[in-house]
Amino acid sequence: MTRKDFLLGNKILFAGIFCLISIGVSGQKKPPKNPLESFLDTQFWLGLRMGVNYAQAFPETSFEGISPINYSADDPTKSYDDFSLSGAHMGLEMNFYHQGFSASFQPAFKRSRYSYSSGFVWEGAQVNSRFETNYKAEQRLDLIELPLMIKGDIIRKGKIRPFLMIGAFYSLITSVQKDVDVSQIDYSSGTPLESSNGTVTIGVKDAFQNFYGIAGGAGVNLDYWNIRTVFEVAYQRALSSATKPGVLQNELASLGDVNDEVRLRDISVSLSFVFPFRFIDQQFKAL
Amino acid sequence: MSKVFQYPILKKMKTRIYQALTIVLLVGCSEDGPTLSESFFKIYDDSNIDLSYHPIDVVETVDGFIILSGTELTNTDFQGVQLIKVDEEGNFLVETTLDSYVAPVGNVYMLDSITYFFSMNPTTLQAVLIGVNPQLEVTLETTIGGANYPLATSLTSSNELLLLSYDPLNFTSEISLIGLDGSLSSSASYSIGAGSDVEEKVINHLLQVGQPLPFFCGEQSAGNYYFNGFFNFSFSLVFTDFSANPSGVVQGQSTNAGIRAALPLSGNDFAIAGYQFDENFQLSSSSLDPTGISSSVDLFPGDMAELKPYTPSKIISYTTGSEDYTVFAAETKARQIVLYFYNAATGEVAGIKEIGFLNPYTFASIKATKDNTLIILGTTFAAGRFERIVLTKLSGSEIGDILK
Repeated sequence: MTRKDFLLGNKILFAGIFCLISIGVSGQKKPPKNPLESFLDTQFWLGLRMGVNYAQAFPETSFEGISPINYSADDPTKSYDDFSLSGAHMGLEMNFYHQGFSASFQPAFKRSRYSYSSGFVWEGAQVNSRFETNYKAEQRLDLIELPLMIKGDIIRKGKIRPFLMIGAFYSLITSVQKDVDVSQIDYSSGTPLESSNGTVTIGVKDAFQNFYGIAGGAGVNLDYWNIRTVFEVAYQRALSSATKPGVLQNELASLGDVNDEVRLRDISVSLSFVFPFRFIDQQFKAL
Repeated sequence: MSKVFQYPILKKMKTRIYQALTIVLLVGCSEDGPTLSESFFKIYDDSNIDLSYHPIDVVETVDGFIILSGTELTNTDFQGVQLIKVDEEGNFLVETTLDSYVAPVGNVYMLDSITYFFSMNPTTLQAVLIGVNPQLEVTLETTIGGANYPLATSLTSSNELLLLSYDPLNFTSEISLIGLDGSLSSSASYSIGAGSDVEEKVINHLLQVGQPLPFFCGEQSAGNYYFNGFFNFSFSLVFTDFSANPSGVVQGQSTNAGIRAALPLSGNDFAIAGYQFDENFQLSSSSLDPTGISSSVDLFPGDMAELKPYTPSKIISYTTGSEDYTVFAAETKARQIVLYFYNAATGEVAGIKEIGFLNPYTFASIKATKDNTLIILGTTFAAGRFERIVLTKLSGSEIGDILK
């Protein structure tokens, strides 16, 4: 992690915590609540959480397996598609709520996807001496994600309670696969002849590593019946690289493909269904 | 926080939560990979559709690597001399083509920051010793009088260059000991056999027409040398101390069977890569008779079916920790480069590494570097059709993984 990232992370965390404290302080000035609200002031919630996510691979440092002799080294640079492929996540939501604040641990199995493309052109002295090849790579990361979020309620009364959240996460790589779609266009016959060289699927876990980062977002708690439904939108920003720079994998390198130092950014939409723990202890009576 | 665990369910879970957090922290501690200068894989591309590259050898310099390659010329069918400089991370820096010379010969050696190799004058067919500095500027161009058709070279323990060449006028294979200034110290000529003429085969080898012939030479011990070349009607491994007659020979079978690479181990023991028509074999250690006549056919233990017929091969020694290994490099039928690591003490295979995937790969050279890595030179066919140079550097840790 660079100093810049560290400072950025700290700034975001402090700003978020300040906002959440401000919400909490303003909440303390309110009059006493009825017994049900007092009961809800401290509560454990446990349930299922699921959703979809869209990833952006941000290349901190670019690496290339192709080193050009007679053209610029910048030419074969990969082009990333941002937030274009959907992933999914499913896991637990463990939430400890106290007077407007929640500490939420959200371990989940997550699939994150991103793609990039690169292309090369060869030309000769003859008019029709031209050949193009294009690589389209889709990267699929299977992760165990361990986010710890602090949530602050914006409205602490009623059955609809919007909140803001901020926190950090740690992602454990469990599996990574890459699909490389190779296509080419041959102009030698005078008519562009486009063909596919097929798709190569490669396991590339060894070229990836666990990573961590910060997250923030907003959501709403919906308290109907005896469960709480949580809808939230979050943005994650990794502060460490998901790829291992310098790790070469034969199948990748042979195609001239070397992973950049990539930090993942992620937008996710999640829905959780959580149950109160104290209800189980029969200290809470159903409405 | 302690109040949190007063709830009965969480109280039971307290220990498990601590255990889980510990596991997460332990798993999260990942190892760093090798640095970019310790490990790289580079394909040197040229956008010219009409160009092909034919790398011969690579040498480590003070600030990177110099690749000696053959390239097409418009004024001759012989390979032109091309030098490519790359940095410590394998990134292309500069290249130059020496227009006056053709048919570059490996191996390439660097001494006192000067890179030495032999090539040929296309008009006189004489060998020329060339020296270049790290900036690829030519600092030495010396014609080796009497040495025609340079075929192979090697560095001796006294920092002289051993040169194998062919004399088409006297029908002899010549072995010469040459100083770094181009001065001739010793030489010996051995007949290829009365009435025999192999000039066409030599020229085809230099033009890279058909299967290349496995010319090589080296030093067994101080004053005792060997070369693999034409001698007495066959392509043979010849031992010499520069006497009028060879001190010994391991005879091949015309050019259809023989030795493809040899590395002296100790005494008369050699690591051998050989071929028997389109079959290949490797011997991690074999005792040869440098003072008698024997046949490579008797060395053939059986075919290594995964190797490509007539594959180029090289053997080097590699030491890591307290273990010595003998590394054989060759090409597979699947068009990959393959490295076999033999334990030098036991002779057993300690690991195999294959390089290349999808597109075809060819092998040119392998060397151990000062920082205990291996660099492997070859080509790949970009997009399956354009032959481009590939340089791979395997770090010590990557080699350690292969040897596990």
